[in-house]
Amino acid sequence: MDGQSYGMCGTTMAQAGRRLEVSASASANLDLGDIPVKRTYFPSLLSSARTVSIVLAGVFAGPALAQNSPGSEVCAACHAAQTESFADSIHGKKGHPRSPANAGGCVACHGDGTEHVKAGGGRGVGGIRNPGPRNKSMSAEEKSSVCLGCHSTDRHLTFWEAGQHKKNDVTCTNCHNPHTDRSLNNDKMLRVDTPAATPYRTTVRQLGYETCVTCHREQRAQILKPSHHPIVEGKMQCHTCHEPHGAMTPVMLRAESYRDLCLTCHTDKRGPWIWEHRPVAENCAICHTPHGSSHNRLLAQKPPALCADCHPGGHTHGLYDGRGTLPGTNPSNIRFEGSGCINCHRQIHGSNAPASAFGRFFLR
Amino acid sequence: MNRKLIPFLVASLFSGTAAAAADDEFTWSGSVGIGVRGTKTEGGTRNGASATSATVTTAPLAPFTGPSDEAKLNEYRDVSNGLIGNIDLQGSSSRYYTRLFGENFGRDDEFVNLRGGSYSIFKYQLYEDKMPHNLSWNALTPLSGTGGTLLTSPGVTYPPPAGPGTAQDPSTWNTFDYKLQRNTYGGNLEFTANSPWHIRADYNENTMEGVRPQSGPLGTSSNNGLIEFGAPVDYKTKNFSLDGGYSSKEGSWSLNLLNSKFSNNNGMMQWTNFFKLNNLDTNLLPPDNDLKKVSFNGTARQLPVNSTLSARFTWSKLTNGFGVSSGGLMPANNVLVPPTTGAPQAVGTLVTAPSSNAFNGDVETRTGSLSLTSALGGGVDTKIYWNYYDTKNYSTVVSYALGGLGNTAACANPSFASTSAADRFCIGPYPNSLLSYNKEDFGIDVGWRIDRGNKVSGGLNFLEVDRHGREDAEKTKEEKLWLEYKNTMLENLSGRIKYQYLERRSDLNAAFPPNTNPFSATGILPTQVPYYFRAYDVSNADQNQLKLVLDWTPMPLLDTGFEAAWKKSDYKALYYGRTDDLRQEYNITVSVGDPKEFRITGLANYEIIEFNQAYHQGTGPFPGGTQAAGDFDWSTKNTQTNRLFGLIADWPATERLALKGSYTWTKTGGGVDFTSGNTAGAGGFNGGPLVNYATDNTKKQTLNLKGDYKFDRRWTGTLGYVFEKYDYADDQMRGYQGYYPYYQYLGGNNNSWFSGAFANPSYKLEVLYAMATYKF
Repeated sequence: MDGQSYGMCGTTMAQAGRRLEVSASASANLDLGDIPVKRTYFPSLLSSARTVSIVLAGVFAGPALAQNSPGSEVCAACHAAQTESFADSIHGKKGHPRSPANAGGCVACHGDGTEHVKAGGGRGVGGIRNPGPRNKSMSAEEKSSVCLGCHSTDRHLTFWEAGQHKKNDVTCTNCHNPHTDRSLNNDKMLRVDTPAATPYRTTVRQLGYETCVTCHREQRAQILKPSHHPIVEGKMQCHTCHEPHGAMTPVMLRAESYRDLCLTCHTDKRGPWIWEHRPVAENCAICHTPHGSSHNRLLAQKPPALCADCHPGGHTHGLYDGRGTLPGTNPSNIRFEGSGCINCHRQIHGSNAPASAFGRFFLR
Repeated sequence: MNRKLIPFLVASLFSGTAAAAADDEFTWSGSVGIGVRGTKTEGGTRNGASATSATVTTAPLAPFTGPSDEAKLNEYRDVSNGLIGNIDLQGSSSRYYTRLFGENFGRDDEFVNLRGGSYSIFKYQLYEDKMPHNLSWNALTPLSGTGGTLLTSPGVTYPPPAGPGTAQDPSTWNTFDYKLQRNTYGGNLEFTANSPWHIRADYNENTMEGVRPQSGPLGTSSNNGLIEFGAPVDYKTKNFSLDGGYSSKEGSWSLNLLNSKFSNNNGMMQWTNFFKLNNLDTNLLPPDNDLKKVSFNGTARQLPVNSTLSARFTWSKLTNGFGVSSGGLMPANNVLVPPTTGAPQAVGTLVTAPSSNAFNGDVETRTGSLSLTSALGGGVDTKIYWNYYDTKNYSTVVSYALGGLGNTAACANPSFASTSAADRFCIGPYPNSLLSYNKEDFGIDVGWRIDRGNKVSGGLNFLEVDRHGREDAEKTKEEKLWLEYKNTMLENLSGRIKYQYLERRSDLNAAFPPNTNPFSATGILPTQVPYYFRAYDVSNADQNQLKLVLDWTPMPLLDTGFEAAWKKSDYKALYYGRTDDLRQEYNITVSVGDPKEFRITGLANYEIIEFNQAYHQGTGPFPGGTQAAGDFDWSTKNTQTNRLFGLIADWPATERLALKGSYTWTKTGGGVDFTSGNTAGAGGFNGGPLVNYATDNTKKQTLNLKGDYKFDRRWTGTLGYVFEKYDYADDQMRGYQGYYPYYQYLGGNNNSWFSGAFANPSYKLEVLYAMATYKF
């Protein structure tokens, strides 16, 4: 399947159009058997006024697909929940010119269901297309093409081809489920197949990170460490920093560098400063580990070990001044206690204090 | 044809039209939930001690039971007692939609989101998001006025007298909280008018208020002690962006303009410095800044060889401006007579005249990224990419002239270090050094899908960094190679394995030529430790990484996943500094059952990080010279471990009753182990042993039980119970449990004042909540 041609919608409809001529007679042989017919969503009413509506609907409902392939009402007979969720979502809104509702409904994504219905249903039977994540009969390109047929022009997918997810065969349906429950602010129709372990949280919203950690298991543990960004609490999400739909940066950051990204929120650290701390000016990840840390302030290590990676000492005797390294011993060494070096070098991100106040040592 | 089907199909055709005709009606649905929460909390106490003698360091200490700290359990959430509620309101017609969601009304973590629009025509959003960030509560300080910019203390003599009720006794101190409240308000409006064009405007304001940790050394030496206190936070950031562009199946482009302004209502704060004879000392607070950014995004699809070309270019400018301070509070001389009694005899303002009275911050950044992805056929796809990042710091270069107090005629000029003697204190001159750098990387990734179930991939990446304003490493190069094999052949088993090798080399300059090192008259000499030391972020390194992922469904309704990662870095061509590090992580997930009936999921994680550092104590000979009591090599092995275990159960017990439960257990640990070439003095010197210590040992258990009962299709009742327990222990905070007093006198003129913050964030939390939800 040519993943670069996003004309699946049109292709499907054209193919379905050719089949529809067959299906009109084939449908005569359809036997619904014992499949319960649910009439609740599409009321079965006949009226002369609606005859006119039918003509108009036939004109505006897209190519022959809408007229000849089984409509959503037929799908609802077996897939009531999915049909209802579809109708409730933006996909089911005829007012949206690009919605599948204007392109045959279910068939727009799942293909012509004539043979599927004829055969009595079943997973994959009759050529029905299921782009869900567990279906291995479709390639990643094929699954994504179902969505990209309409969504390729969405701006957040501008860099989809350049991104890591596409390269690693992650498809739209790995993260999104168009038939999922959209309550609890789940407008993005995110999929949560494996529940995530969380502390008690005060939000009832469906949170995006629960989708991400289904695959990103390393981060699942890291965001639960004692020092963490407020992801599990719902005040930040993975997509606050990363663009899951593709970006030009290696880990799909929403900015050109770690520093630019961090300073989007941590605006007080931007400076510019008279006295710069060079790793701060170059890359926040030299000292911090953004997904989570056992050390305060998301530090990769605790001071003084953190600082000692770059600073051999500087004080008269170096980092270790000869006093005990363990509080509780006498005398004890202030550099190994509390916040370590930061006890004094508090302005570690930069300082504007004059030289006389040791601004260059980040003491004021 | 089945007789039942014909009328159904015919009716459905009409019903579709009926639906279309009725679709213009704006219908509402949603839910409203209201309930109550009862909370029982218990925070960890920060015990400690206060000195009973002002002059004798080994005198017995008076134990002190400190206040409790419940900040950690409220770190990013508001779990207080009271009413709880949420609303989820949706309205839509065939053309228009709107959605309002809100929760935690009136609480510190309130969230409201309103969005809507007309499909494919326009859309809008208004939102509010409040977030508490509680750091540590009930910290202690001898200063008054926390929360403002002036912190004072009634005249504390130096050294302060010891004993109950004196300035050294923390029970006489004031309590305050390190806590911040971060609120964001914003909205956006976008027009597409059912065309490939769009224009969008975004605006949001973020305010942050509260008190954050601050501290300052008291004197001119690290042996003069320090004081912890709170700095006021009153920040506001305003962000505005405008975005416009065009998008089609063949390609898209967009232009974005961003302006972000940070303002701080407090430019500085002052506090009483006991060491400097109770004069007011000054800390400067973050300055205002203004960021402007222009970005261009572009994509061209359906190019030859099934290619897509992506591009992004940005230009940004960060500016600020403020007056340059010239003076700092300093001892007029450094005579400490007698040396054991502390404070200097006189204090004055040490002036180091700046070369410019105003600082204009100006950092300009340009970036460019290009990516060409292609599907060559035969299952081969490629990605060729190039990234460029160039930042130039055009800020004011400020030089500070030599300054002195006391007998300044005797101050050596230049003086590359502060100098104190019986009759004078000198410092400077110092210029600042501003960092500019550019990074360029390019690479290629190739993937070959051998067949539907097998894929091999690999890639090469080359990165070069050029720095100006960093003397120890002006240039760094990295080369990276990665290989991956992925197998999805089997229906119920898939896996992938990835290997990556990274090589980093820098042009390291240990000697720091004198003319580029303002802080040394002669540069770093081979007789000094820094000559053999390499900074971790630029030292030469070889890194190997291996990652394995397996997903297996051995039988229906049983899913398992396993993941292992291993990363080893060796740092080359150095004697001192970080020598190597190793990271390993293992993850397991097992899920059994059907979420529609009963499902239980277990997950476990283990991570261990180890890194080693090497140092030298003394003045040589080194490296590896004869080890002596005052001149020896020493090293550390640093370890961090993390364990996670979780069980989550979903059980729709009946048609009406759904039960959920989860239990998680997390544990972190680690510490620092020393080795030393000094065989005397327990590996140390100067009376202090090199004693191993443990860091950040934590354990957290969370039990979360919830039941939802559907009375009917409209009403649902929810009952929930939560138990959380967090235990914390850290040897770097151990003193609060025993010897380490809030007020610390370590002899000489070392008198430190600690707040107790972060010493013991342990807590216990129990929550019982009930909620009624109405759906319509």
